[in-house]
Amino acid sequence: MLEFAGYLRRHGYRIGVGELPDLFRLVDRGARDPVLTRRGLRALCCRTHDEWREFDRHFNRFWFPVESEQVAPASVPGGLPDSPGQTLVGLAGTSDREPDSTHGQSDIEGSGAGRQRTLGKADFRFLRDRTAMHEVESLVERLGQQLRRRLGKRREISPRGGHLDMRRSLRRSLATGGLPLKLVWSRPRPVPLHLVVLHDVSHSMTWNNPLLFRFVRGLMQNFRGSVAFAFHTRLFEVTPFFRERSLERMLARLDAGENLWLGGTCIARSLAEFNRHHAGTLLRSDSHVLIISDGFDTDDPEMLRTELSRIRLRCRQILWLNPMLGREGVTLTEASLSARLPEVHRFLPANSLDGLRAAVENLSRTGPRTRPGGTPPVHGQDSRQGDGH
Amino acid sequence: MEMPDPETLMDRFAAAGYIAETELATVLVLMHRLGRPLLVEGEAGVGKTEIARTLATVEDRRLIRLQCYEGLDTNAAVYEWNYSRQLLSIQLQEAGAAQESLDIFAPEFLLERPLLQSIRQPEPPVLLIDEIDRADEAFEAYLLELLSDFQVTIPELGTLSARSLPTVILTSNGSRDLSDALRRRCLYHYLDYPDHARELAIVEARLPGISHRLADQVTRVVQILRGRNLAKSPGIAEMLDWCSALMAASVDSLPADGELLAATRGCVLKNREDFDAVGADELADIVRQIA
Repeated sequence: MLEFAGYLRRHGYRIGVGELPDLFRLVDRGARDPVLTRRGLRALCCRTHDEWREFDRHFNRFWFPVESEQVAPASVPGGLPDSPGQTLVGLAGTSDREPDSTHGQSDIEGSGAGRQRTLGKADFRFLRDRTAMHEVESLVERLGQQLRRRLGKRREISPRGGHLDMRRSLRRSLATGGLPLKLVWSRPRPVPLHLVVLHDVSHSMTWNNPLLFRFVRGLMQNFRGSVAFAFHTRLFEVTPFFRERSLERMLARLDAGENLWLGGTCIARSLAEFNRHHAGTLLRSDSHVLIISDGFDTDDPEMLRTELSRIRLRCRQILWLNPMLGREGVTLTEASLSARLPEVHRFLPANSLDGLRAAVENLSRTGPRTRPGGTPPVHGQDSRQGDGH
Repeated sequence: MEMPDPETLMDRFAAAGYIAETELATVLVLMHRLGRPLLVEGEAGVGKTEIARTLATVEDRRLIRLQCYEGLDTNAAVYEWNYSRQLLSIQLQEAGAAQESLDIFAPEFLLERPLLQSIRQPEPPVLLIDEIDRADEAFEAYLLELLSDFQVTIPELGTLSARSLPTVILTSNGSRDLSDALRRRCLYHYLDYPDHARELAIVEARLPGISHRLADQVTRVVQILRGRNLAKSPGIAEMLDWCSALMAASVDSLPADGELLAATRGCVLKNREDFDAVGADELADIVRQIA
């Protein structure tokens, strides 16, 4: 059983020490009934629909290797589709190019939570299935709305609030023998989350941008005071495009005038332009700056650090969403990037829905307001070394 | 309470109107033997909630249900103090009507919500935590503690331990992913849409007066609709509604003309997109196909 547990772990099942006694009890009790044992093991070892669906195959491979080899499966669930010639379909332009690699997950199967989980982890580059692509697009765009709702749910006690907090008022009145002498008022906690998005639209980002555009659109539509810029070799503002009600018009305007997907990226020069012309008026002490880029830059790294440190001095935090992070076969880590650019508060993956969710989670935790004392929150591999520039 | 073997349990479930597959019956037996909660996932309308209801019925146990929603907190799920009663007692004390010294944080002032109720029953109830994916992550974390120790700590009263351990069934529609910690504590079962034979058995168990031909046709059509890329696939409840509507129209089989189909297709198609995608003529074509 220990070997079987190890085998399952190697195939991604999360079987902890706590599950082992139950596994043994189950096998002990069900020794006379192999069917009961198999089903019981499935219920104990699986956490998701995908694991649940694959369990029988793993069970047979481990316990009946000869038989399972004879009955080789015609197709493996979750494998590559038969016709690899499908093009990547996205909004903000349909590309006729194949993704740069066919390695990895390509089609999304399953339903319910299993599907949610698969979609969440799927690398944007490998979403070829049109239905899955559209599903992810709408999920990505909804992240902004979810963030707004999450922040808006919070209430705070305020003497000028318009909502009587009955629970607290009653609780407080117990001290005065039930006379509600001191009423407690609350109001919705304000949600002035101020976002400044700097979005890389150079050629190397082509594969990720259709979804990332939808992500930024969701943020811009839900946080009205926020602004968005795009850059490749130069910087230009795209906030009005994201405010378009019609998605088609937004995409047409993005495609039309600004020459998206140009080759070459000048991140440092674009940030310098931002600092020179926009930072003074746009950045506030409670601004969250989101840089969305894979980090390929033709400019001097020192110049990039200098410009980032200038931004950092004016804002609450800088988050860098990098589609290369978390990508299979790429050795980049948040720690290594942070070591190179300590001015950035956090590097987060932007290659999947889960990565973007982590970014939203970070924004939700950090919240819209500066804490008393004005110290920006410190996350992960954060340091203030860059402030001296 | 001794749990029967899976086959007997399936028979009891069938007698209560729930046609369970053997895998589900096995997991329910296992849940009982190992004393673990069961997490059931699946599309909306496949009968997840009914599992708990039927289990409570066949074992003659009390069903306690906690419907989760965004913003659910411990005051609504675990306990709350009865403030109005506390205030009245204070007033009575002041008026001299009550003689004894008053402790307003005593158990009689406590309002037990579903989770606390479930562990304070003399006989173990079935606790249904429905649509846990709708609750916030903070509540999910709180639930972990309860499912591990089956005790609730109330600052003013201390720790209340379980009088009996409830059988816990959690359901999730998968609108968000649940934490690994919660999944780890539970047995897992995925409830899929039933195959044609089981669905037919469900219809005949739930609607005893239905003609076999009508039941067979409706279930076949619904199975075909589920294969289409609909925004909302028809669940078992929708299918039963459609059967009831057709029975009310006194038909013994699905008509091939579009009129009755057009009038009743709203029972299974619950979305404008789906309504446009599967028109009455399309539905009539499907009926002709299966005839």
